[in-house]
Amino acid sequence: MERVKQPLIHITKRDPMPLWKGLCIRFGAVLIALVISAIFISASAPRQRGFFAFFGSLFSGAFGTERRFWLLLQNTALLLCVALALVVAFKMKFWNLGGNGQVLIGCLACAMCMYYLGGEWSDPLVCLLMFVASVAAGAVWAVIPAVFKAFFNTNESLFTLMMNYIAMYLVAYFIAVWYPNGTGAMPPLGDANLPTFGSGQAGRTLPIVLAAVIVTAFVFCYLRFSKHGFEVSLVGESRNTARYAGINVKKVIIRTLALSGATCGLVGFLLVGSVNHMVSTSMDGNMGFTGIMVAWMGKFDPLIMAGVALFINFLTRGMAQVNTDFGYTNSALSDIVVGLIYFFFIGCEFFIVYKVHFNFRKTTARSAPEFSTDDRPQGAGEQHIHEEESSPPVREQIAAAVTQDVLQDGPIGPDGSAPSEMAQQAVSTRKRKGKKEEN
Amino acid sequence: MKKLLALGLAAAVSVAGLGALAGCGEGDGEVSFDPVPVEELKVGFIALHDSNSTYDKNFLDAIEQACKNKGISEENLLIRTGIEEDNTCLETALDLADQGCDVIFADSFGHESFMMEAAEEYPSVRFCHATGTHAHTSDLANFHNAFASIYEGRYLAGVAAGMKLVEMYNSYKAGGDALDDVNFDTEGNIKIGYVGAYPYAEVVSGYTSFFLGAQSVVEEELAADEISISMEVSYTSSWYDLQAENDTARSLISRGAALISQHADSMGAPNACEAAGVPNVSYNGSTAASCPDTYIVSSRINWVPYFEYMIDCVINGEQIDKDWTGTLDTGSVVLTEFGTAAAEGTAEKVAEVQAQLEAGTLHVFDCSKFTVDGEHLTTYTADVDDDGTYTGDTEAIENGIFYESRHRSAPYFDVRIDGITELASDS
Amino acid sequence: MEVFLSSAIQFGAIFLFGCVGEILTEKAGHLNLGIPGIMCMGAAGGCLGVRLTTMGESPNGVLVVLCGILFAMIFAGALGAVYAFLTVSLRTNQNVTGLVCTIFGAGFTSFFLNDVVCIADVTVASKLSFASLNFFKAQIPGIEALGWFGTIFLGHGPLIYLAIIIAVIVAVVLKRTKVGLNLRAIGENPATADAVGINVTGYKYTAVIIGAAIAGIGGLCYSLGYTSGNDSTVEVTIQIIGWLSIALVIFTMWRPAVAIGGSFVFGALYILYSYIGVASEFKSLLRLIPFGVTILVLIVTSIIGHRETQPPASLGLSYFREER
Repeated sequence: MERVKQPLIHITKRDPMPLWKGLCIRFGAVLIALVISAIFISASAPRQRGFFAFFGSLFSGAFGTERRFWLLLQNTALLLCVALALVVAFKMKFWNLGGNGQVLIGCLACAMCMYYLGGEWSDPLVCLLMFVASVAAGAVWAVIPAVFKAFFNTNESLFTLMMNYIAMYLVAYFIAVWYPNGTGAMPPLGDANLPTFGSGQAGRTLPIVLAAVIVTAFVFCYLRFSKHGFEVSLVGESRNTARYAGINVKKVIIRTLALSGATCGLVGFLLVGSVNHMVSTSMDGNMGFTGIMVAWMGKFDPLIMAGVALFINFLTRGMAQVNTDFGYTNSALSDIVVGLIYFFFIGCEFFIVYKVHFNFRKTTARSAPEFSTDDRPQGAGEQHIHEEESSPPVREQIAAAVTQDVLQDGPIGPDGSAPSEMAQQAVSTRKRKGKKEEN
Repeated sequence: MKKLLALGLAAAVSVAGLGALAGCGEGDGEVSFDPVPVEELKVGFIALHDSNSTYDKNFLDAIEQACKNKGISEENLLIRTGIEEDNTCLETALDLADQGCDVIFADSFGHESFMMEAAEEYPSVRFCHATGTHAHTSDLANFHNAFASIYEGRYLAGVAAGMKLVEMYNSYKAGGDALDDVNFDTEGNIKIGYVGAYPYAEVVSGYTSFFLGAQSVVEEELAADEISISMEVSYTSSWYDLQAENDTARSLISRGAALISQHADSMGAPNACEAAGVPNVSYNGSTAASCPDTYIVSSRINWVPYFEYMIDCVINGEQIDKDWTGTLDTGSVVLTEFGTAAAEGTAEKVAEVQAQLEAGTLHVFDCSKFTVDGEHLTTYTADVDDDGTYTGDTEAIENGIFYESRHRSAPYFDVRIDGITELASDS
Repeated sequence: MEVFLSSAIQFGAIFLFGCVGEILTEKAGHLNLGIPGIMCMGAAGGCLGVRLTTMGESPNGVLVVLCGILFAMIFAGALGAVYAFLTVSLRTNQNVTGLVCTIFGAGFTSFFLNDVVCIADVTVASKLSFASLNFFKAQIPGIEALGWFGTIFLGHGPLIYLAIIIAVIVAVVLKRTKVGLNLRAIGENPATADAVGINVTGYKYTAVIIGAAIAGIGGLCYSLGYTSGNDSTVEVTIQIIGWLSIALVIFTMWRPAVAIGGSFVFGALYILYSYIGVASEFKSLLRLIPFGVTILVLIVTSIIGHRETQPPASLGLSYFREER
């Protein structure tokens, strides 16, 4: 009998753990990150306030007054809408990093209507036009990269990223043209402001919260119950399978991105028409990137995403108060805290999906069927396990059949370059073994 | 005179106010303000960026200093940084008012409309704003603008620059390499360069006064050779963009500028000057540490006098001026120390000119000292009210002097004079 | 004109570092969107290194530069290691992990430079500026005599030449050595490479960390080689540079040698608007140019679609060795 060296660390996939346990681990990870931040911030603060005051300031900054509460809701609503827009694209494995630009171009379109038509045409008409223009502009901004991705498999991450900067400089250009004697900043416009639901901050926030609820419901139903949603998931799973199923992949890509961009445009419409009544180059507030985190941490589920968006805004608004209370004048502090939390969250995902075994016995008989290590290099020290991502029911049915395709079907062309002979062999070997394992 | 009146009124009001403090309720729409005891006085501050920007740092240091001078505790000074020029400003101002601030200050041009909106909602809180233009035409009793006669500071900095140019020219005449042929324009004048942010009055006023200061010295000292100066201005379209300012300065230097000054907040232009060995007059702070070989002098606004005035008004329950312009007298306009690159005798010359400015015997925008299209100006309607029509409304010239900062605190001199070329404008 | 070209080369060197670092990472199959944050970390580390070595009276120029580079590589490599750990061992999604690295790296750098290294402090500022002007921008003596050729090609600091040398080394390693071949194999098809006996994990870690370290030198090149260590919002500019570097990788078709020329072109496009005289509002439109050109390049290279111009086949995908 052969003696084989056991790797020190052996990783196996866990059985799906109960919901509460997963939540606990995630919650714990975030808490650890917060505690580390609290220690670091309260220790090196110009104004010493103590460790617990950190949390006090966080809560005070987010919930302290009625106004702050409504502002928290407002920002959460906007962020959630952007995240939902991105989820639609992400489900299709289209990495839409252009949320910022799509929001900005929606803002610009809305501002253009306000600037050129406000006061000239009747308010309700202008408002309607603002809505149409923003949504259309956002959709166009997302469709352009989508078209090239669909037809030529152009890298969408970078394309959408570049569109962000183009949108930003277009906004700067228009502000300079409209206000030549200014400093690149635009005053709020008085005409064609969207109506509020009453006075005070609550009145200004409620329309936005309402819009967010509608968008959430729509996206939820769209992705889960509609035919389009099924097609989106299928295309995301495997282009080839979708094609075999008779779906026009190009059309799905373009249509989905149109929806994604349109939703971002809607956010732009709300930002300009309802909140700010003007446009600036930083109006997107980096929601395009934060939205990606919200979508990811929310596991593409609209309800969880709402919670995540709330938490992230709680942190950001709370950190502003922490800055004031602890005497920091560098706004970058909140980025560090938020970044730290992201890291921990991403990292803890691993421990939810996998279980780590430590083998302190160095050798054992060659009985364990899982690791036939004879033709594997010993140096690796780890056994890699094939992972299936958690997914809605639709995916699981096709996952087994298409796993190999997923590995093959990278970000290259629809039919791509022909894999090398060796690669094909290796893949088909795995295919056979994989099928055996699954059955 | 106005101050004396206000002081007298304050004395009367504070006596009455202190007595009636217990029974005093809300002002319910009245214009008068109740005095606030120092221990309870809360100051709110809204900054566009944070202390990493020299512009905001100038304000932040001043407000902290002023509060310390007045005995306001750290707890009662609420500073919010990173507040953009959009609705966030309104939300922050309202939030600060919620927190009980008696006076709130915002430091950037684009904050104005939002501060005014907040002022409408909280009539009993004072809202003060730097560089703004709308207070003097607004009905709001609790909204105020402030600035300083920085053009005088720039004029003095220009004098220092002129001294340096004279020194360079004399050395060149004697065979040295301080100047090259490329540094002279087609009419034989020495070229200098200016890196500006945006093409509007505040910047134009700044570079014109700088130019006039330098020109006065050069023409006086080099009258025998009939040498004067000319200036090229290039805009970066940003208040803080180090790379843009650096490259713009390099571009101006390659076009022959013998000296550079700027109205932009980063170290871009000073860096380029130091690397090229070209003298530099900076803004908002001494750059001697980073640019020891080329730094001459810098002008900046000292906000402490205004903040102390502002806090005093709140303590005494009196009105703050709608438009407050700090001057050399109030200590609001200061020059930082002279660098080693400054020419000999600069300090004495600058002190001499400063005395003349303070005495009123010398005016920066003296119409006899500059021409527009070859003619001296006798009349000019400036756009003081800034109502969005970009047309003039107020006569700014009296007796051959253009009075800057008289009709409102923010500058309104936007005349393009001869001798200064804006690179790539419509011309 | 010479000033423009000279400046373009200086700026291009920054892109070159980022680009070569990202090429190395992508050849291993990892799309590292954290490069902007990693370059920021490099700037932070480099400034710290320079500050530490210039505390004395007459600092040794070579020591200062080397120390700056070393610290830049360490800081950037550390963040790269975090990215590597998360994406190689924990198999998280590369896009998301990269973005988090960018967010964190930028925030950390801003805080670190302003509150730890204190670049606004007068003494520190003077030291950094001194080091920058005398060491990082030190020019080969006697170039003035060579006129425009000297100004454009030889009038640069050591980091610019280092960038070119590194690009050439990486190109040679990738194309001609066994190590490079193995790395490319991993990037194309890790399963096959694994089957052949290549240590996939080890190579991936090495490539990602070294790639990050190289990109980090780019951050240093900006903060001390281009500015003089006194840009307090350095992370904003470096982020844009980072994104453009990643785009540049596609422009250069994953070839470091092409990157040398490509980065120069990008550098020129980036600073173009400061050298062209146009009215103030059009400057914004000029600033769009590098991004527009990048998009064109993205489109054109994907339309042409030759094998040679395609990314490594397993780019962006985590590698799982399947259970047997």
